[in-house]
Amino acid sequence: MTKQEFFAGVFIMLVGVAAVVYSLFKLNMGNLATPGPGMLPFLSGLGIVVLTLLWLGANLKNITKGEPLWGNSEWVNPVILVILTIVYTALLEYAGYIISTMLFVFGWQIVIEHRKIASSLLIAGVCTAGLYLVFVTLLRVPLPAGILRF
Amino acid sequence: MEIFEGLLGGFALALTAHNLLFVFLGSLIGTAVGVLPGLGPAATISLLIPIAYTIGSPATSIMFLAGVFYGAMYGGSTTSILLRLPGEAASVVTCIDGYEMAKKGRAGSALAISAVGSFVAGTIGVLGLTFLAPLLSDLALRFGPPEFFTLMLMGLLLAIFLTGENPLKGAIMLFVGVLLANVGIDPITGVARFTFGIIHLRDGFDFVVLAMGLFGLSEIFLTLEKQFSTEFITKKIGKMLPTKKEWIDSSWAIVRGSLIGFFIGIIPGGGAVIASLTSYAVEKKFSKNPEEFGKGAIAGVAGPESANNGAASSSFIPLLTLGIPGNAAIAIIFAALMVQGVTPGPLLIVDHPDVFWGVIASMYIGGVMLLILNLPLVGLWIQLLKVPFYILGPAILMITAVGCYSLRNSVYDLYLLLIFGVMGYVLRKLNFETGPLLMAFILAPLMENALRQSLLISSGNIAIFFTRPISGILILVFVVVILSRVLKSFKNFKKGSKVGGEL
Repeated sequence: MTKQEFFAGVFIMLVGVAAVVYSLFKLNMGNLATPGPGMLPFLSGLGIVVLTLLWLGANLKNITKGEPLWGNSEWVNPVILVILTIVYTALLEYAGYIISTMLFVFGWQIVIEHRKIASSLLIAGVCTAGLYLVFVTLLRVPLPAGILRF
Repeated sequence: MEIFEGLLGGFALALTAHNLLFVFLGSLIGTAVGVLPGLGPAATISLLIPIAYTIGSPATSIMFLAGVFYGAMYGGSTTSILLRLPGEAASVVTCIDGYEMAKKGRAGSALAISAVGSFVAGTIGVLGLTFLAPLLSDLALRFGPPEFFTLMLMGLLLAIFLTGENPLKGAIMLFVGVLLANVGIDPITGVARFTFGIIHLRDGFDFVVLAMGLFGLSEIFLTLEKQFSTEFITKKIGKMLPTKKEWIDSSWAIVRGSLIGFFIGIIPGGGAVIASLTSYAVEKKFSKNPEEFGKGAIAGVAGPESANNGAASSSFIPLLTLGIPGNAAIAIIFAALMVQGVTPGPLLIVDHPDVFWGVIASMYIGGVMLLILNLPLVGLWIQLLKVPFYILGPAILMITAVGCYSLRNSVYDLYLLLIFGVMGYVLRKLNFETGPLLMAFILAPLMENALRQSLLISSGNIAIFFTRPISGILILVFVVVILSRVLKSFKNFKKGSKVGGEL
């Protein structure tokens, strides 16, 4: 077990503890004959606690430093994607599907792929048009029109 | 007789132009997914569910999604043989001898044998499904809530103990899945659980959003970490027609692989990966020239490729007859049926014969389509690998986002998608399997219902799960399997503790 796995185990165990506490104090557990809404959350929380304790306990003596989860700036692109997706989601209903999708694909090309502006614009345009054709024209999925009104 | 009548009805449905089109599209997308490394069948099926809602009846949707699933098994062999790059996990073992054959200019033979083996195994699997499924459905009609609860619990735990490298981590994920499924209004009492006053949480989490995040988005994060370029290691495919000797060497391997795949696919957690690995080991043992394995033995391609396709077909048996999904991809198909108002299980054949027989018939048709798609068009599939990730990546993400948004026309689901995507990404980085989490999430509401009903029937006596014959036997089988696995784990742990082994 690596150090990172150990901390993940502790975190998951705390989630289990929180579920047990919430079920005991906020939900009605009922009894075995008529189980209440708290019974299954309690059991699943308990299951998490017991199993993580077993797992952590069995490997406590074998904790190694392990490889770092992210090597040489491997985390950068995933983080950029998270930010791009948040911006896309925030814009979707106001700016509409076409503008937000174009901005998202354009942003991906510029920030993640480091492509030139002209080719990024072209890829963003073609991608957006293709997806619009499939989803809106062919499959008739209702997507937010936003300021463009279509 | 009923079986043939049902099957004829299924063919009548599957052979309509609309359904043929979607079986073809499913097989086509499945093959593409199998060819492209990274995006697996579970991720793709979850991405396609919102589209599947819009294409027609539940039968059509499931024919389409099933096509993606078994199509991926076919496609996976192409890149394994030509590029030593497994398109999906079940084709890893094909890389060993398939690529060695390709290096010797026998890629065409390897591809042809692999496609024929896949077709034979797929057909044997569907034949088994045709004749075994109605019998199992009849048997399962005798099941009550205690049997169903035991069956679902045992199925989930078996899936973890048989497939995962670390069963304890898999079991932890299973309980996390159950916990996530508890979020929202309790369907029996109407009490809100874990909603913390947030209105959106009252409906709980949608399995599509969870599946798309855990499998689809997390895969994109992982790919972005290490953007790979596909080098064309093998350019020459060679003659597509195997020699007489190659046919002889591979024919029994295909038969054995088909049977191994069929039986392993029925077991929850068995799946295509275990089937292909088992088949490779068996072929090496049966071979007169085991030293050829690893150097381009055709049986090392024929057996595993047949086995993974056999397993893909037979994994529909527990789904359609018992309502038990044996792996993550089948669990997503299970959930897709539920969303369309169709409950997989013993009553499926009675209540929705169109879905039951239609899907089975479509699998016969899909098998033929895949044979045609994979043999003459192999060059086209290789070209697909030339599509760069800077186009594929944003397109996949936008398809995911649109699919997710269209579920409830709400950006709230897009934020959830992102949260589950990051969660899946981190869990996978920490070597936690996300499959059990999703399977448990999907089955938890049914399990809770069966558990509550069982306890109501028995007035709270949990002996009901042990004293009824079917559930008692199921528990016994489970205990035997688990004990053998635990003993083996402890032996390995004792051995490995000196060198840092892990339990």
